[in-house]
Amino acid sequence: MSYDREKQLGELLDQALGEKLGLYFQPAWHPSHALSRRRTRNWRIALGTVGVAAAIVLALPFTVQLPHGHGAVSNRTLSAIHLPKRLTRIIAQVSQGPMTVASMVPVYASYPLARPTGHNLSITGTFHINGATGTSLSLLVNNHMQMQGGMIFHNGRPVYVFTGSNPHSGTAINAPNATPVQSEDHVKAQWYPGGNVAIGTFSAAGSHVYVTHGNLWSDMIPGSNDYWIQSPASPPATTIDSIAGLPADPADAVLTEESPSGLSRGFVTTNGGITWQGWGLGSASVSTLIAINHRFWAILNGTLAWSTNGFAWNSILPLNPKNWQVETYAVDPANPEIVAVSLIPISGDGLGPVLETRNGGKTWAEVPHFPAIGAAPTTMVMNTNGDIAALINADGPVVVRYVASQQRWSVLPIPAAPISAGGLGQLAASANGNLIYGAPGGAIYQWIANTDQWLVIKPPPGLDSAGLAANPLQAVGNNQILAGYPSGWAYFYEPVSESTGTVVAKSAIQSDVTRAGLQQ
Amino acid sequence: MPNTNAHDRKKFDDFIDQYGDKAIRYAYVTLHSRPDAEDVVQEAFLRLWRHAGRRGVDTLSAALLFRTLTNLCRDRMRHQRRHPEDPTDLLELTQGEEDESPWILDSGAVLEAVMQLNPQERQCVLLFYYMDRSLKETAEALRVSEQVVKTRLYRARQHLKPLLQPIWKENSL
Repeated sequence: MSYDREKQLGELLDQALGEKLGLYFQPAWHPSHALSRRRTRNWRIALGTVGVAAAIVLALPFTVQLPHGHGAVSNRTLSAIHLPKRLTRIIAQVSQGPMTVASMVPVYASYPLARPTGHNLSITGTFHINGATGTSLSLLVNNHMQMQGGMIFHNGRPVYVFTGSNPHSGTAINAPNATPVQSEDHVKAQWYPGGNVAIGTFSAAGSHVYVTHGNLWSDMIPGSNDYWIQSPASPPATTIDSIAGLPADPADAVLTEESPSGLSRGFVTTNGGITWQGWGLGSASVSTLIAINHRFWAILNGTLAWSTNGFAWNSILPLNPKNWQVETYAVDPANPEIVAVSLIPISGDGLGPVLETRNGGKTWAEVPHFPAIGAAPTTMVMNTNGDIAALINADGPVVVRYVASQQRWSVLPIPAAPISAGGLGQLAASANGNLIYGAPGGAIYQWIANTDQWLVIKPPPGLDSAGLAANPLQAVGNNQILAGYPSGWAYFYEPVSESTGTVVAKSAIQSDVTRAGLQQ
Repeated sequence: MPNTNAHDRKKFDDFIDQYGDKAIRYAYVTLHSRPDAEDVVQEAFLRLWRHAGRRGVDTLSAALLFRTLTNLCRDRMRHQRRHPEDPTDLLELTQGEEDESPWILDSGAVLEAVMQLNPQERQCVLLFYYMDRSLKETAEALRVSEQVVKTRLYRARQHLKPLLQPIWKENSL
């Protein structure tokens, strides 16, 4: 379908639904009328119920003991979910007061067969166990509704996790303290202003720093003024979706622009953006375009693909496109043969498995026992040990880690965000394996892998985060972090020696910054 | 809406004027059933009415409406799966009387093609093409990621292409 025809699609649907079928909102449906009708109906039901109850009381001179009131659902939806008694009894051990099953999402843990292996239940209420108190419970159950594990959240923050059918066997998750990034009097870790525009994507490759803003892109050259160039598409696109420069050959870059249809077209440059050429794939569904060492990576039409030149793309995951799609992925920065993907079923709502290949896609194996969080990872990163970190934006952001040597997932406690700060988090990783977590509210936290400690970096001065997490959020090398906010972007430089962990001289910093192309 | 005043009532009515028709059409295309769609739309606006009473009418938004509608439709579809019935409304459309106006016939054929998509793709197509929601807004309404929306739209287009090809050709639209 062409773009013009896609535009007509909406108009034709409007004609068909309106004039053909006569589907219009009726004045009688106004809530004020509906409410009065409902009140009248409720009165009738109430009177009828009273009558029936009176009859029952008169007719049955005994009472039936009701089961303990857990699992009863108030404010029922159109088809409330009922839990089996066995499961309700277990939940009752940790629940206080009434609770409501808020959602029930199928879990597809088997690949390539896309059949549900269980469900993830999200239950709201008040939960208390082993000193942890929470407001919602996420439960993983198998197809026989037997509990496989769970997690308790308090206002979106995980506070307790357990595996198996015994909730008491779990552990509490305490929010760690974060200390400010260290600095010395003569050398400060600090923010450097990038610009006062909201950037869309960012990619640092050698001396090239590719940045996009709306339908403009720029290569931030050290020592020169900013210049912005329109999308190479003709006619120009309304939005440049993403840009990535190849670290191994920084003059090579791929740019994708997004059309109103949601599809993207790609362009390739081999001379740092002086000229661009269409990538020859036509329009495609593209997301999460990145470049690592010698390869571009992207989720292309639902599956993971890589390319060395931006023109020829190789899919490494033999997905059945009717069943699965890749939600996000992570590549070992030292070995592109090691890749992890998070899948979700295409046929509806649900959670899929996390798979890993260690041979460039020849074989894939499930990374098992993903915690019961109730949502798929939105971002994954991998370090050179093959350890995976994943950010899951459930009711609140949750970070989990898979340690390859231990072959198990665990929750990585993250510093508590202010209660007022809701929304999505962001996750990135430095080359040395440190994690960068962008919290709702705008603060950035850095997890130091060697010491298992969190450092906090306040949002850049003068930039309004609007209560949102930094996006894009990206690590450049080991010492720099780029963060975008609605009112502009900035980069943070940490003058810490990789080898000794000590602060390095200021002259060395400026030299490094200039080499990375970020110095103004 | 508690504490109703004329100003708030007017704003709520304006909201209904703006989105009421689209809401019933979205629910209809999602559910394949006019009675179910009417129930769901009334329930959705009732919930928004109460929401406006608690939080203020200024907190109403199209995103909130379509998220509420999507949740209610999902509940109703779950109910339908337990109590399956024939989607007779679709037959009403496809076996109805001959159309006197050719463009109405075309639009009916387009709707018929859209109705053949699976529910997830239908919702995406409706929200994105018909409701003019952005990718982000569509993703929020459906509680999925933008990547999922992109892929569903991609697949919907793939499915619609052969269905709509004869219509586009015949009418040079």
